[in-house]
Amino acid sequence: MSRIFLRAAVLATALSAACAAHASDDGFSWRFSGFGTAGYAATNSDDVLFTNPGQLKGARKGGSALVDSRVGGQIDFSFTPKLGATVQAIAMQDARGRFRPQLEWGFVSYKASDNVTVRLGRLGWPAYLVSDYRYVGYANPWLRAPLEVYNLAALDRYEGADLRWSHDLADGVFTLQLLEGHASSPLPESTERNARIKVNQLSGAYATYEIGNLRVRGGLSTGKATYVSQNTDMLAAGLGMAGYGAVATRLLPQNNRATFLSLGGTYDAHNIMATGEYGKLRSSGLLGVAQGWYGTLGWRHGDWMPYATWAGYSKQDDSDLYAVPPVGPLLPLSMGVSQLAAGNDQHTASLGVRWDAASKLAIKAQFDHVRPSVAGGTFTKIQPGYNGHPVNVVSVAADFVF
Amino acid sequence: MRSIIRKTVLAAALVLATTPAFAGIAVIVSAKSPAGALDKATAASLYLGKTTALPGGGSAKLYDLPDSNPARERFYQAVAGKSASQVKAVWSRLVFSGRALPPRELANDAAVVKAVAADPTAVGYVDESALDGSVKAAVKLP
Repeated sequence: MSRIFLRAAVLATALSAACAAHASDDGFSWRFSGFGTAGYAATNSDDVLFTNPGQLKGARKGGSALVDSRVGGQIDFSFTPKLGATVQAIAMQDARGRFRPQLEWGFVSYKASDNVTVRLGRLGWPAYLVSDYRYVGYANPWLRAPLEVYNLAALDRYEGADLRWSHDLADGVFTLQLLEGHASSPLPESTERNARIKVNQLSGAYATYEIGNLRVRGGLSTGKATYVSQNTDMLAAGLGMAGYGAVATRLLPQNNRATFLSLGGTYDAHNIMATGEYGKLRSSGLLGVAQGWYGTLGWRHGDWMPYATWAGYSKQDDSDLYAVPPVGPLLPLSMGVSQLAAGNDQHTASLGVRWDAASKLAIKAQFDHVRPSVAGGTFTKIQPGYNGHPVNVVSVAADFVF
Repeated sequence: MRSIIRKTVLAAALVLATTPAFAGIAVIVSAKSPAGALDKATAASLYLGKTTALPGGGSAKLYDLPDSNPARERFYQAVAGKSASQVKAVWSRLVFSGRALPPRELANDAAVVKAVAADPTAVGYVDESALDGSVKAAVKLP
């Protein structure tokens, strides 16, 4: 239903753009804005794969341009002073490893009063401090948003509606955002076209307070998560046949309640840029309980901003909740289960620099010293025998807006 | 000797007086605008996208100068203590949140004065030397 609505909205806005592009300033108008990143990352290890959340391909010793490179465009339509629409498409590496454009946002917005705006359609999930512009490298201080937090709940968008209410409070502005909808996000998987995580009955509330150069933001989203994957279905079938059907039921999310809490802030004034964020995912089954945090301190010196980040991530070890004895024919099942339920953690120290080289161009370089656990932290495709040794990541990127 | 010094000082004073680069920057509204009470803090909030509300009521329509114009860097430093590129990153955050559109860029001071004079909700900034009777200087920045 919402997909059909979305298509209709996009079509309608595109058509009106074609018909009325020359309309007067006070009535219909539209504006295009674009952004992009050309990035390259390489690590010093072939034991693990370095990716951004939700990506299939990534960097090992042989580097990759597929991790950070992307290009996006957005059109903002204004029909009347109260009614508008926004469409944003981004081409970047997706969960199947392909580089192709996707409709990131498509929504209609209505300004009900000076303080209240309602939006309807495909919207960005606003759980994180930089959710709205996470893929716009130029808008961000770091080369990429710290994975320890941004990998906790890899959900970018949802279909539904939100309401934003803002109010002057002391010398600042307080904004409350309420959302309701459902989401579906593909899981990185090469063989399965339909592997995805679905979240139904998604609702959330986020509060932002901005005063002077300080911005703090926090909130909670909750929904019912379902895992759709043939690989995990096969594991469940195997467990069922071996008489461990109850373990499979508990391990694989089928409308399991999942809650994501986040809190962050940014201070940016004079020569100092400081930002930090904390996130906690609380669910059951293989999603488990996980938390992450980071702090970044940057120092502005003309067009240069060197920065340092310290970040951590941990996932609770739930393997004793799903006891399948690792004996005889049960061994592969037991290994499969413990892999999904195992604990994990990671710490990263990063040093980087942003250089505003030209008016709409920023060049960045970043070095990450990552210390994952044997489970591989935020890395993927962990090779058997990986012993949890540190991995260094070197990245360069050119961020631009147009 | 003394006359040489005198002549040099005189010459320097003349150079200073005639070089427009030493003039200040004025935040301007239309001469017909009710938004005379616009102050520096409000101008900063408007140009950093924190508000769109004009003190006299209504939404402000903002005008900007191009990057190539040195007044742009001086304006953002003076009004908000931020560099033009820092401000650009701020606006890219707002634009790509689908929340606001950046000030409209016009070619030069004269174009900004003309656009602001014609619209009671418009706000712009220009070098003081470009002021005329059609606009009011609401805030003067050094």
